[in-house]
Amino acid sequence: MKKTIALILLLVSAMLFGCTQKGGAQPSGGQPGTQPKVTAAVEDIAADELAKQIPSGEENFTELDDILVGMAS
Amino acid sequence: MRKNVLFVTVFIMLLFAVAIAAPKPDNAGMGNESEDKGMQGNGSANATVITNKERVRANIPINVSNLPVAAQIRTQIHQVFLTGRGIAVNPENELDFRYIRIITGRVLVSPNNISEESSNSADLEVTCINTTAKERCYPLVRAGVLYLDEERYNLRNIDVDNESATASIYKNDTEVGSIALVKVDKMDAEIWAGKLTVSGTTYYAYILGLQHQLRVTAEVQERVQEYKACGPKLPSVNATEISSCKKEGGRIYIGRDENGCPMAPTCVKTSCPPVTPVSAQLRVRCRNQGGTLVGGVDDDGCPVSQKCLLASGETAG
Repeated sequence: MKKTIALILLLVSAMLFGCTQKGGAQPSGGQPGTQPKVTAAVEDIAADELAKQIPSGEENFTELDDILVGMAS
Repeated sequence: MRKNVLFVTVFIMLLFAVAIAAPKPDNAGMGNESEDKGMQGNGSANATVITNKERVRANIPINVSNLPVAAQIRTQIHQVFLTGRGIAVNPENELDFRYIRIITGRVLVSPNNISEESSNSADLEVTCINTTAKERCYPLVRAGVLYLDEERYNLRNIDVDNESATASIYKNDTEVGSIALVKVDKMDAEIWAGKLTVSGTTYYAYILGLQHQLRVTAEVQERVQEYKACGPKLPSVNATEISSCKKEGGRIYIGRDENGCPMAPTCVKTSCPPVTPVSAQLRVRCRNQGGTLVGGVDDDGCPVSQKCLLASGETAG
């Protein structure tokens, strides 16, 4: 009986060990040096980076007000 | 029997210990969001600029002095051409106006982020420098973002110099319009005025240029600020014209007449040398080394031969 339990425990531990190793491994891309395929246009990747710097629109229009008033006078 | 149980328990513990201690593979490859490996990359102090052509019209030169020397190239803004906010007004309906926010510039991108379809983009410029031992190349992309009210558009086919800017407007990979602006200095402020067409509607656009730490600043020729004499003419450019100009390896340029008034945008073309296609052998070799084939255009807008770039920017193959 105890032998059976020991055997089951051994099998379970071996299975767990295998799962742990598989989970830690990098998703296989096949051959070494193979990269995941990029699908996004490089202009869009660059635009996303620039978008982080876009004027928020929360600024007031003081400068523009000044200019428009100056132009009108 | 107890010995057996003890042995099994110890064995299990050992297995787990090995599993936890096993080194995880590096997350190399895409994204390049991994930490920089310090500044031990190629020193740029003695760098020799290879693609250091004279400035051409409708293209602000790449600032080679502030290219990063980190081991891996990461996506980051390199230069800002124009950033600002303003108003676009429909001349046929004064109450039809949009709030504009815009930013355009050059962005350094990792070679690994360049798709095969993008590798010959007209907005992609590759600048290479020679260090003591190797050649290192930097893929830079001219890009832009335009907000009309809350709606975002991306800009492509960007041609910009210190006095004018033109671009195609894209929404979800579809060309929906174009923009052409000229710079006007008024009251010590920089205003970009022009026309923008989006989804069939044309607006007069007035953008107040804002400062940015990466903003390209250059001495601009002083002009007599009598733009009233220019008449009611603002440059406009057709999206189709931009596309055909780009296909032929040209740049859109807005010239000025003797009074400093902007003239109609034209496509400036130079005779582009033929591009040698990469061999199948190099293609395979590049892929096996984990590199990316990157082409793009030169300062004049002419397509250039593809090079195999590693994530570090070094050439391979």
